[in-house]
Amino acid sequence: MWQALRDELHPQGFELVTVGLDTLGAAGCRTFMEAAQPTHPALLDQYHVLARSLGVINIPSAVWIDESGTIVRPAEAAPSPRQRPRDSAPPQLPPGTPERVVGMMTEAAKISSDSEAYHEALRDWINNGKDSRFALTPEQVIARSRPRDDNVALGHAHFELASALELEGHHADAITHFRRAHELVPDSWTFRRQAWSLEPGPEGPLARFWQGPAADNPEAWPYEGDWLNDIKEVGAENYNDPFQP
Amino acid sequence: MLAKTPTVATGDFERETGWEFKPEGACKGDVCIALAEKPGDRVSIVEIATAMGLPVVVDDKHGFIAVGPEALGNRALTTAQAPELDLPDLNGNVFKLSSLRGQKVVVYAWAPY
Repeated sequence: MWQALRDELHPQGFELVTVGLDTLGAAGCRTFMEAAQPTHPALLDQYHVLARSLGVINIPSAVWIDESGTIVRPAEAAPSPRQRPRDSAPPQLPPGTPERVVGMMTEAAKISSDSEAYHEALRDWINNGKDSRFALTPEQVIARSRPRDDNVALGHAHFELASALELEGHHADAITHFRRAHELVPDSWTFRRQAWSLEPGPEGPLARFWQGPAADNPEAWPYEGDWLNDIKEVGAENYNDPFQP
Repeated sequence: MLAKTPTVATGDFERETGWEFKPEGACKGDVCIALAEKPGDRVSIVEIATAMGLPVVVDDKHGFIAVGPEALGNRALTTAQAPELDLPDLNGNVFKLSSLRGQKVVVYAWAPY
């Protein structure tokens, strides 16, 4: 999807850089990256540098940077190029699918995305550069970047520390700082999803997507929220901000 | 940035935080934070971060010092100048975002969870 778009636009002086935000680094991202067979730079970000330095709070999101190294659109939701008309009907899942997964897939199907508008805007910028109405001024870029007060900035320090503790094997201590980061940066889905995905889930491919209490031992879940409850609270339709020209 | 020593080489602090020490202070893009004096070859992380108004978390149990980003202007971005990103690929080769100057670039964040 993005790969095809990149290959189409690359001759016009466009490059795509994908960055996998995952404390587990290559161990978490390798399968997906090798399957994508990228022809563009495909990088790993174990400490969520993109959150700190660019204000990324959710995935997928993207930042546009012009030829001179100036950001012309700050981090915003970046839906995949649409391959087929959106089907928002609840997914058909095989019998025996855990109730939690049914709930998650049902909510995920409700997540709205402005794929057409976003990709029209991207092509307009590739073709027209700074004359594109979607290329923002530096002042607009700064003003549209995520709000960040002293608490949010402190939350980033806790998140980076939590990541380091996790990588050194101090999982229980990492949880303490992930929790603090969640309190201080409540609008970051990636900070929450990252921490949730590091908790043991069921065996198999769902392990990292479970992101919530185990059915047979819900008291052991160490976080205030979880993916299914949080998205219901926010409303799946509000998961991504709408595209703002 | 993260460190396990109370002081670091000044260049490392600059690279990790994106702030560069100049005669007018610590600068990022066209924004500068005035400092009483320009640091020498090494900086005390807690001292310099405090002087710059950057948040610090010290983890005595495991010996980590974590410095958070600035909150100037109450926005994630202090400047529209793209930060340098040096991140590894699957083979551990570090790629610099600045090597793509002259092209239009989309930096796309994804995650496997």
